[in-house]
Amino acid sequence: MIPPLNDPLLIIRLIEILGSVSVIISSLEFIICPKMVNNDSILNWQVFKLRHNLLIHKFWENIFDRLYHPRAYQGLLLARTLAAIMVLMAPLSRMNENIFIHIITITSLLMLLRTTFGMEGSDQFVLVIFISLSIILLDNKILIIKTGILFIAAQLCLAYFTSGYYKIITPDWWNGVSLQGVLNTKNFGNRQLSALLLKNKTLSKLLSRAFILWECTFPLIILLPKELKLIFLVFGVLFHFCIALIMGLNNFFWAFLSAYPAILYFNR
Amino acid sequence: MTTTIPDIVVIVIFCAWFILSILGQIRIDQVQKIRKKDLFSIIPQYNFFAPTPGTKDFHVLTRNKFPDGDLTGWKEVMIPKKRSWWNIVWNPYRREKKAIFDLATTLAKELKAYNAESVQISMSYLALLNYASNMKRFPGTTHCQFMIMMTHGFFSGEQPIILFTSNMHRI
Repeated sequence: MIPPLNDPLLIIRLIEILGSVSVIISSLEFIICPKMVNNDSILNWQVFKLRHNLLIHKFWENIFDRLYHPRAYQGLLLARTLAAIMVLMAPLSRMNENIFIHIITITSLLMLLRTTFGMEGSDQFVLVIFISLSIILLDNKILIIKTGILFIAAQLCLAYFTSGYYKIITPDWWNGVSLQGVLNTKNFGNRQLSALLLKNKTLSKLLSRAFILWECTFPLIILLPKELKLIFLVFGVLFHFCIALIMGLNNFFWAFLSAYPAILYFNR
Repeated sequence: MTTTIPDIVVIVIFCAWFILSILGQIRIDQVQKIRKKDLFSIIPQYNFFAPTPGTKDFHVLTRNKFPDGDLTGWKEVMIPKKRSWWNIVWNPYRREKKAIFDLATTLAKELKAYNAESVQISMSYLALLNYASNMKRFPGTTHCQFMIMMTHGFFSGEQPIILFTSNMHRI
């Protein structure tokens, strides 16, 4: 039986579960790639701490040098992974009122403090989700839980709307040139799709406009009846699946889907 | 159930954070200056690939110098790999690729704003130099140098463009 989605505790639990999958993936990606954390790596802390005076203030430098020592940092990533596994293992019906959510929040903050280079929008969105969950756990009342769900839904709407807005005001996005341009890169692109869009400019334009209009109108989802809301969200799932498949941005799928239950809560 | 002061504090925190998040999306210099102070990236930036998306590929190449002045050939630090079907769920390779892309594009922007000498003390220059100097190199070489090259994707007749060549640095 599908539990009713008007239970705020269940909504929070679903957000925790989907967000934890994203946390596990991103943590393991760094753990298995020591080249990303060692002092001879592209992301050497000894270089990145120079970006702000606070980070080289004697007191903080001492703390962060220990914390971001490659072995300590690997430990921090491992703790983040284990905390997310513990959150996943809790029963579906219960909100995870424990230390593990706070561990994920703190370690996510420390990851983004170390550097934002090599990090991506999914890391930032997951941070927003887990800080929100930590705040909810501080004052675990139904009013606060509902406010937290509203906040997460609002952040999702803001994310899609901002992304759509900056594309709709850019002629090259509206006429499909930018979409084909991104897909033509070896970094984020796809050879077959790039070739297809290069030959068929109308398809490129149509796809680009469809995504832009979906992003720009996403905030209206709150006002839609249940059936239309589900269609909107299914389109979102397909959108993120395509991004993972075509662009290799696998973690956007879990990060952004973790906020979808918040939208469903306002489905009444 | 009554609303207590802690409840109000939490609601105010959520409201303030959301207002800051909206302001954080505005791409004007004043906002971006404040953003630089957000060390934890708490204020998100959601303009993915917009308004101007990256439609070029950036490559970092290194070479070394022997004490007698002879130079090795240029070598790319990370050869792009073809993506596999499992990358849809597991794609750790993109992290290093993204880091190189971010650093190369940041250095390219800094080059427009400053001159080639000034960028030598920038974080992106130092990070790339650190990376280049720790790459495997020919035995006996004493110096290293890196280059940022831009290419134009899968389908383009355009030649690669050398955006920047660093000074030669003693290892």
